[in-house]
Amino acid sequence: MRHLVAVLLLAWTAAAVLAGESGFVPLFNGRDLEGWVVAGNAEGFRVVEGCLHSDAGKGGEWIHTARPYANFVLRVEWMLSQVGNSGVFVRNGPNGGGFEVQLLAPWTPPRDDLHCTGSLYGHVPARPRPDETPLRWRKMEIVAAYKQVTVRVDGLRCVQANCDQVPTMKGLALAGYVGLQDAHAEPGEWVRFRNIEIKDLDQDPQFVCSGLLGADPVIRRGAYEAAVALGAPMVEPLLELARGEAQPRQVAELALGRIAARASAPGAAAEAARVREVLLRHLEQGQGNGRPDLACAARLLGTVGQGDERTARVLQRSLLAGGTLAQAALQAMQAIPGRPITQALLAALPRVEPGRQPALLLALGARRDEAALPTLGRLAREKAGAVQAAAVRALGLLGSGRAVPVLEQVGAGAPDALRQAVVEALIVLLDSRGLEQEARLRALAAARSLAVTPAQKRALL
Amino acid sequence: MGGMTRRRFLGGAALGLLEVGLGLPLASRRAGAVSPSEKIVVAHVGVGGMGKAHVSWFASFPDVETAAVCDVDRAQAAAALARLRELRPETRAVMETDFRRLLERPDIDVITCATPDHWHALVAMLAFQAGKHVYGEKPLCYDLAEGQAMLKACRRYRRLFQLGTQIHGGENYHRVVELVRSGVLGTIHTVRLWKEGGETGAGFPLDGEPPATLDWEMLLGPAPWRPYNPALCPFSFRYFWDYSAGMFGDFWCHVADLPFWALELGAPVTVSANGSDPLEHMVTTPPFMDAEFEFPNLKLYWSSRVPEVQGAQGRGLGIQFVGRRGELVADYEWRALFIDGKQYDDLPEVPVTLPRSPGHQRQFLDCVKSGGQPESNIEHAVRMTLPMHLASISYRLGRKLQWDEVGGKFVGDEAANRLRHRPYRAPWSLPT
Repeated sequence: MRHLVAVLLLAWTAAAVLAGESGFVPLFNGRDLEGWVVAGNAEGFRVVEGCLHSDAGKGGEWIHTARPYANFVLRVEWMLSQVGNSGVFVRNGPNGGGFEVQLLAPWTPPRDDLHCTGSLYGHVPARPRPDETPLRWRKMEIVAAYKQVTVRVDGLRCVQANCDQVPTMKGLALAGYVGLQDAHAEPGEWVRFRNIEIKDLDQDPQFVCSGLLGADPVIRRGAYEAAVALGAPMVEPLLELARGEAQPRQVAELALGRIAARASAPGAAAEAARVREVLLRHLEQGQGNGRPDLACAARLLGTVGQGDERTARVLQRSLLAGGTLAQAALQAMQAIPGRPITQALLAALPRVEPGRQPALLLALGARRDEAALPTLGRLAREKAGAVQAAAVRALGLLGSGRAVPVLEQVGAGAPDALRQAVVEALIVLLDSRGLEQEARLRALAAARSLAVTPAQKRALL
Repeated sequence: MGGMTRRRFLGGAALGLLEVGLGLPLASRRAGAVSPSEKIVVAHVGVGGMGKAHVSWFASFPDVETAAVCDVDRAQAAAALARLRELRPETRAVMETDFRRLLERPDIDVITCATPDHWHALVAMLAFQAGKHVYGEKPLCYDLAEGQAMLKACRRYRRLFQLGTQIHGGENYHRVVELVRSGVLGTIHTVRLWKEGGETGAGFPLDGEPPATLDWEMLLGPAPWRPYNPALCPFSFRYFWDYSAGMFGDFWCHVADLPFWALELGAPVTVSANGSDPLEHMVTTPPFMDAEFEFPNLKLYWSSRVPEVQGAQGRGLGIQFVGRRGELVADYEWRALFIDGKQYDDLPEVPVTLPRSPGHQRQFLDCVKSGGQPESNIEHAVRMTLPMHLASISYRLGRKLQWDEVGGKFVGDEAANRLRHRPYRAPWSLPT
């Protein structure tokens, strides 16, 4: 497991490098404070020359993003006055809970490594210490990836920490606001920020997978929620996890179930189409009847699938593959309405071994599509044994008045066991919703004349 | 045929023919087919867990003859037979592993069922079809379509059904119903139900070979096939959606029984449920769940946590009725009324109107003899179980749903409607 996590994180890092600057979203528009919330005096922060500006002594405490972030890469440029003190807050709330990456102009007396620029203030020292010469634009990059925190100042990596290995950081929030501290020393001091941008790592499917695979239950829960929120882009990576060990498979299957459920909501047609597309492609490209991911994809189609030609073709192929995949496909085919699915089931019938035919017949009956009637009728008349019995039951399930004459014909003069099955089917038909009165009367008469057991006779009085 | 007497064979076979021949009017053809002086022949399906209690409960009645104990695990069946022989040394009961053999025996009048939930409906419906009455463990069934199919089959085959909510038969529930119905609380506008817990510690044990005594294929039955895993049985099947609906589905009927009985509630109009998916164990049902139902004139809440209401503290399971004039809080054995700031455990001015039950199993057997309806009959059971399934679907889809009781479907939600039934695995099919 640990190996897999390492590989995934590596893959994620490599992918992130390849992706270059993609995925970054500006947090500051250079004009106003749109997207920011000022805690304390609102005048503490203002826009000056396209920069976010704070003067010491004006109040304002800190300014934070409108929504919380859990895992991200934050890039920010800042400049401090001759003397100055500010900071960048990570995963912070109104009452704290997060930590601060320190921004400092040289201080007298000099601050230690634990409280200088780039340090996780009071938690992790900056080593090496970055240059603090003031009145220059500087760049900071903060990567907060679950419990790993990395800080770079002007390209120099000065912090690389694991929260679990820093006693004072244990139990800190794993999600919260990104914030900027005011200039908070002497009047006349100031701080400016510009080019503030963030990449939300919880939008990156590979990153989310690494969280799902980790050992930490809190991280796993957060990654699970991120996966469900991401939806369609997570489907393929989750299907890959569903091929793995028991716990990742469990988590992946539950997350996939949630994604399909959300996509199935009324009004989520576009997301449903995206999820369907991934599922169909996964099934089209996958081979083998013992793969849990394929069975899972087929099951999910039962929730979001449509009864179109492509879905019918894909599910039919899965059905013919056998094993648990076939079982999941058949279940989906029973749930999804639409003529193409009926036709796919009918076409699959002669292609599966006789032992599996009853399952297909029962599914055809339960789907209540009259297009199955001629085939079911023919098999009920011509076959024997389990196939015949299933065809008879399916005719009862079909809920169509047109099944009555067929059942009459099969029951007439039949041995007791078959006759009993025909009567059971007629009784199911009698009690089915929406059967016309004429058909009902004919079914009742037929069932009465064919009834075998005392229970059947009592039921038909 | 070993346990069958000539009398019963003739009686069972002749009865149907006689009825058909004479075309007796409906009223005289009461559901019961056993005269008061006769023995009732009972067979038990599923005799581990709750089934153990079934065997000893029914063996304790002198007018019951136990014909068979059946379990997909031979070891369970053998153990049940051994216990039965201690209770009733004269018993001629046999041991079976396939319940369908019991249904072929015309001497058996009653089937009791204590299988895992996903088998409840099939066992009952096939028993009705074979002319047997059924005492069935709760929950009633696995999904919505099964409940409807059971109702149809029970009526069609004119059989009796008692849901095994044995608390229903107790004095406390009867008295609570009288108190609520008396109007002392005023119009009831809110009902709260709760049962703590649902956490399990299954972990992720490896799949393996089933024990030699267990027919794993039969245990799975209509549920999707999967390899044997020790985390699934004997009892913990309950924590997997493939077979049950978790702690919620297990206890819903015990506590929902009371408001559905007292207020004769119909179906809810909306349902909304939420909880937390289990990521740390191979179980799939949530460790906790909250649900909210809107009925035409009432709101009903379910929670896995004890609500902060008067009288609920320290009660891991309970029911609260809130009326315009007062409240009543109850659990299985206890109740309290809160009216005008005072607490009462009873109000003597509320008359005793409901006939008391001689005990849930006895009451059912009396009905088998008299043809009357058991207290937890199929109509009541279907009505009170339906919201449990609605909430399970709402939980699984993660959204509020609207229910159309007349049409038997959700309003404008195709995916929810697909979840009304989980298709059976062949050779099983749901007759509906």
